[in-house]
Amino acid sequence: MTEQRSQTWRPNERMSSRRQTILVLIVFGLFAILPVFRSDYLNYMGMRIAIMALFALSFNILLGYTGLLSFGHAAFYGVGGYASGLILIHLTSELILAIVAGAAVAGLTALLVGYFCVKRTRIYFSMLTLAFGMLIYVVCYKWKSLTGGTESLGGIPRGKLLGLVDLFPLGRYYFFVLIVTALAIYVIYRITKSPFGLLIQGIRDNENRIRFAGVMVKRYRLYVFTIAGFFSGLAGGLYASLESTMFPSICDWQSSAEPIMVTLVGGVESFMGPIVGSVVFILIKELIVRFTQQWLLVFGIILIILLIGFRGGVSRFIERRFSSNLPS
Amino acid sequence: MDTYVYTLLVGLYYGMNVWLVASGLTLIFGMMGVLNFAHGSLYMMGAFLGYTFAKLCGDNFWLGLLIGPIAVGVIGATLEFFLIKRVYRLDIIYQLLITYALVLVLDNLFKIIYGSLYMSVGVPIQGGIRVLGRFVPIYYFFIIAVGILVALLLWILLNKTKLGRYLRAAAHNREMSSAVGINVPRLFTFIFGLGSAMAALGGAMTAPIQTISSGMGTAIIITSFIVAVIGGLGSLLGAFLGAIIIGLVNSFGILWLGEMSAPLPYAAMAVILLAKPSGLFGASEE
Repeated sequence: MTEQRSQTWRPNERMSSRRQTILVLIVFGLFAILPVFRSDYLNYMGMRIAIMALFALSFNILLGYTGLLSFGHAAFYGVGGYASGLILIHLTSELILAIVAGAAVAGLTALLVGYFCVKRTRIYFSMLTLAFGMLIYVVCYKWKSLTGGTESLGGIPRGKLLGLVDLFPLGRYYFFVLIVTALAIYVIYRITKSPFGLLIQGIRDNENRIRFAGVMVKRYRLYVFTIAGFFSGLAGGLYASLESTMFPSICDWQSSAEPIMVTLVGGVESFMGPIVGSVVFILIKELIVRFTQQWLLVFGIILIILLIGFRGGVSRFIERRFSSNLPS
Repeated sequence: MDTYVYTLLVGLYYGMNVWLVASGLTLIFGMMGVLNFAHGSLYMMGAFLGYTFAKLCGDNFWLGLLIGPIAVGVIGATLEFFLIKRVYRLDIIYQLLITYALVLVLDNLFKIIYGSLYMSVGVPIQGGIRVLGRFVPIYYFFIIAVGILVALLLWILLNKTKLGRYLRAAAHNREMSSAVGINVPRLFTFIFGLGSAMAALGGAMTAPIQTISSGMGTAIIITSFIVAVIGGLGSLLGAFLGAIIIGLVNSFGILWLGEMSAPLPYAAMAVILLAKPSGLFGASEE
C-alpha cells in the first residue's frame, strides 16, 4: 500500500450563480411555507432535515473543501448539544445565548482536538479523529454527574427568545431553527467563497504548492477543523432543544458516519450536496420506517447501489440536468 | 499475586479474541489496502452461525465451531467477489462507506433473522484449573491456545508455503504479480474469505462466554481498529502484539482504575498515531 490516492474533490462551479440562487430560494421558500399546513409532524421533519443539513455541511467544509475525512465529527455535535442543554437547564433560558455558547464550547473542543489531529493527513487523520471522537463519547458516557450517562440528559427546555417569546410550541421553534440554520448556511457559503475558502481548496488540491507559497498549511487545517466543530456544535444545540434529550451515543462513531453518508448521497463535490443529501436521507428513513424497523438494512442497500452506480451523488445528477448546455 | 495472574489471563483471552478479528482486518488492509468496517459483522455472523450449526448438529458445539467459520468464510469470499472487488480502485472514503453500508445491511439482516434478543451458549469445556489458588476456567486457556495457533498457522502459510509467496508478491506489487502469471483477483478473494473465517472463529469461540447479539460486531470492530493502528496498519506481527497489549490494558485498567479505564484504549491509539503513525511494528512511514 504505497500508492497515494489523490484527493480531487472539486466543488462544482458549473451551475450558473443565477440558477443556484433561484434553487436556494426555492428550497428556502418550501421550508418557509411548511408551517402553513399546521402539522407538528411536518414541522418536526423540516427541523430534522435542517439540522442534519447544517451538521453535514459543517462536515463537508472538512471533507469537500479541505480533503480531510473526519470520523469523529459527531463528537462536536454532541458536545454542542450537551453544552447548550446544560446551559439551558442550569444557567439561562435565553436560547440564542445557550446555543451560541454551546457551539463555542464545541468550537473550542475542536480547536483542542484539532491541534493534534491536523498533525496527520489521509487515513491517519481519519483514525485520529475516530480515536478522539470515541474519547469524547466515553467522557459523555462515564461522566454521569454531568451528562447523566446512559440515563441521558433529559428535560432540556427550548427556552425563550430575548426573554419575550416562548419557543416551546413546535411551530415557533420551527422558525427559530429555520432562521438559525439559514444564517449558518449562508455564513458557511461565504466562507467557502472567501479568500480563506479558496486557500483551503488550494491545500486540498495541491498541498505542496500552497506550502511553497509560504502558507502554514497545518494552521489553516486547524482553522477549518475549528470552524467545522463550531457549526457542528450549533446543529447539536438546535437538536438538543428539539428532542429535549441528549444521549451519549449521539457522539459515537456510528453517529459520525451519518454526515458522511448524507454528504456522499448528496454529493461531496457541490456546496448544496449535503443539503440535498439530508433531504434524501431523512425522507428515505421516514418512508422505510413505515415498513420495517430495520430501515438501515434497506438504507444500506440503497447506499451500496448509490456508491457503486452514481458516485458524485444526487446533486451532481441534478446539476447535470440543470446545466446541460454547459460543457462538462 | 493471584489477582495479577488472573488479570493477566483475562487480558490474554480478551486479546486473543480481538486478535482473531484484527488479524483478518490487517491481512485485508495489507493485501488490498481496504479498511473493512464490515469485519466486525463477520465476527457477529460467526457467533450466530456457529450457534445455529451447533443446534442443527444436535447441540454439538464443536461442529458449530468448525462449520460456522467455514460458512462465514464462503460468505466473505462471495461478498468480495461481487462487491468489495469493485472498491479497490476507489478513494479510501468510498471504501469505508461501502463496507460501512455492508455493516448496516448485515447487522440489520441478522437482527431480523434472529430477533433483537440477546442469546447465550453453554460453555463446552466445563471446569477450571487452580492457578495460584485462583479458579480459572479451562475454556480461557483454550481460547488463548487457539489464538496462538492461528497466529502460528498464518505465519507458516505466509512464509513457508508457495501460496504464501504468491500472496506476498501480490501484496507487494499487483501488476508485476499478474504479469508473471499469478491470478491476483483469485488470491484476493481467498484472503478475504480467510480473514472472514478467522473473525467468525473468534465470534463462534467466544459465544459461550458472552452474550451474542446483532450489535456485537460494531463493538469489536473499533477495538480491532485500535489494535491494527497500534501494531501498525498492515503488520500482522503488530496486530498480534497490539491485541495482547490492548487485552492487558483492558484487564489491568479495570483492575487498577475501574470505570476510569474506559478511555485508555482510545488514548493509546491517539498517542501512537501522534508519536509514530506507522505503529509499533509497521514498516512504512506516512
